[in-house]
Amino acid sequence: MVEAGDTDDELMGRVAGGDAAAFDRLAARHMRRAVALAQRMTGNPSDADEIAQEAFLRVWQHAGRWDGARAAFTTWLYRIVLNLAIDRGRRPGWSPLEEAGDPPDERPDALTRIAERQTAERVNRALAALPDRQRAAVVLFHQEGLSLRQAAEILTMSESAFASLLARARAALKSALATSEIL
Amino acid sequence: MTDEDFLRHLDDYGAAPERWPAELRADADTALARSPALRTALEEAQSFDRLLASPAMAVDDARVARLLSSVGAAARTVPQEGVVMLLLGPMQRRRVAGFCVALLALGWLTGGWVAGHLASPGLAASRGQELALLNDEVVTLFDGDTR
Repeated sequence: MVEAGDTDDELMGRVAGGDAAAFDRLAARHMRRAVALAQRMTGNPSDADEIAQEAFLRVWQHAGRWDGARAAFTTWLYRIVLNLAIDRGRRPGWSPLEEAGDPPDERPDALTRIAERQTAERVNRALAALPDRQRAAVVLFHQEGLSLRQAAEILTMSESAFASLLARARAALKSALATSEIL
Repeated sequence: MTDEDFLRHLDDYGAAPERWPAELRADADTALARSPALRTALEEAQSFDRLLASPAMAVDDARVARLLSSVGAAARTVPQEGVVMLLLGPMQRRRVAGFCVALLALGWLTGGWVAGHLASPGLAASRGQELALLNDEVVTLFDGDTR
């Protein structure tokens, strides 16, 4: 529960004034989602950790630039995380061995789980092959569950432009997954 | 909204019409209520959306704690940007360069103006002598003796 005087906006006001304790509270509130978003974009836990730390350091350093009237704190944070992930320029690297998990056994539920993991791996590979902004559109809309408007704000584009970007991403994914006989 | 329109939007925005652009939602509901074929298409499309919406990314507590400790310590050693950088930071590099050139030009012009209006002590003295000579000439002229 967010206490009075403890909203993101209020904490950011204090962070801009150099309050490190307020920064700690803000980071504690949003770190998990920042790391998850970075990992969805990069597919790599190590890169995700570095990106999340760098993103929060930028929040600290540039807190004075943030304008609550223009964007919610989370919009600003997500934008920083996505830009850092895209700037890193790496494609998500998925490890088939890691994804396969436990050694296979012959029980039907185990076979089903393996099939599901293989399907997930193919989807991730298709996602990784998308251009950066198309991948970001799918991550924000389908995986983070943001609305068209929220996702468009993060990618600093109009809602209609984002809808068009999402449509292109979905078409590309559908084509790729049909080729790999998942659809 | 025709059936073809609905199917196109289904492809574009996914199997949750309540998340489509606001202007399409009411028409989508009407089309769904009207057509069993569209409801079937919607159910089929949901399987594709489920593939895209991969399970929630698990980030364990120990990992979050380690990152928070690291970033908290780093923040206490990294200075925040100052007022000048806050003003210049959002500006593009070209604008910053132009701003600097404008400041230099303003300084040069101001310096020239000040130099032109503030006389040096030696110059002030010679001007005073010129004025005194001029006064002498005027006095001489009105005395009438020198004519």
